[in-house]
Amino acid sequence: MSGLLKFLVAVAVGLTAGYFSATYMASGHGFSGAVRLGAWTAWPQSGREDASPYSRLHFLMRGQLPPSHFNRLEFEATEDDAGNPLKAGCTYRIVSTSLLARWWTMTLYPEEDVRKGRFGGVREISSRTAILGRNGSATFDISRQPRPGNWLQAPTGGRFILVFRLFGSTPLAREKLLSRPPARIVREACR
Amino acid sequence: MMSRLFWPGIALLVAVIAHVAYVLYMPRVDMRERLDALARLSQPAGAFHVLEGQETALLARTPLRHMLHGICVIEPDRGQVEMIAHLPVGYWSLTVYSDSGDVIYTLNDRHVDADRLSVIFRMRKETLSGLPEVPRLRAGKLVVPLASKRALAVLRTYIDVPGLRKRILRTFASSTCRVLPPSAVESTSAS
Repeated sequence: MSGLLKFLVAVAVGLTAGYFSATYMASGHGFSGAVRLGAWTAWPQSGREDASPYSRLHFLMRGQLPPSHFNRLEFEATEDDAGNPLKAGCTYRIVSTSLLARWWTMTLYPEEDVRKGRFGGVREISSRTAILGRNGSATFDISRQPRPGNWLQAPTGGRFILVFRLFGSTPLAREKLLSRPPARIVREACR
Repeated sequence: MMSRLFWPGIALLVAVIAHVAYVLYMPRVDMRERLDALARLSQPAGAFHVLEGQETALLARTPLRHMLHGICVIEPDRGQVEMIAHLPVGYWSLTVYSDSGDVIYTLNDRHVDADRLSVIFRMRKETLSGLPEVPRLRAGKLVVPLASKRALAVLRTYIDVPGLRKRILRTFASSTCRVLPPSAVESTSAS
């Protein structure tokens, strides 16, 4: 193989490896600054000037401005507690811990809608409209068919993403929230 | 032995350079494109604009369903910019992003007990101590110094009571952003 060809191959391999390693880290792996809590991933330093550069890349790659760590804490899940992807054809029960925040939202995004920038299938419950437990916890059901209590309608097909946003937590509450999963995601049945 | 490792070494070097360049450079490119698109919406130049429908995708591909966003694209080297935010009752937040996607400044309804907030954005000045200038209150206005050539101010409020939407939207949309004339700049600096 000629020297030029070897050089081109080395550059192509290097560029590919560089790109994939960067996107891999920006998905929350390795020393990226992300925190894994059960099925949930959080970027607790997001928006700060001294935040990991992967945190900024993570949010901007997903088409989102980094949330200010000061205003809100954001947890994202694409799979259940057993590691299975969240699918529209399954029913799920989500049981939160006591939520140490001024208010919160649980939002369901169909994966396809996120890719195409559509918001029609977005479902959301906030602490102002949810039925809460005595300790401030909440239980949600995700299914195609309506259920009593806190219900989020599953999309018609494909996978979905859950984003749990907690607003106005004090530094002490944040520390506690980041020490355990904010909620358990249990798959009940699949069609 | 050395010749065997030469081309893998070149590939590794290219991978490291590509990785670092992507992580550091991509957020800036993304943010620049985002600011360009938002600046086109914010007409006349730099005016306050409430994002509606698909426009919200410029801030987040996974937005909160009931969150309302208003933006100002700020170019401090064109002159001081004054933002007068008309604040609804309940949750709101103001977050200022640099042109690289970092959060420069943020505050919310817990910090300001008022229905109107006046913020002056201007280029950061050198201080005698050599320390970076910090935001401060001056003559009842919050002065936020900016180090970047462009910045994005995002005012957010959450409306999950449909009956209040129209009223809150009216209050929110009456906010303004404008470049201050030189005479107003002098009076702001002098006070």
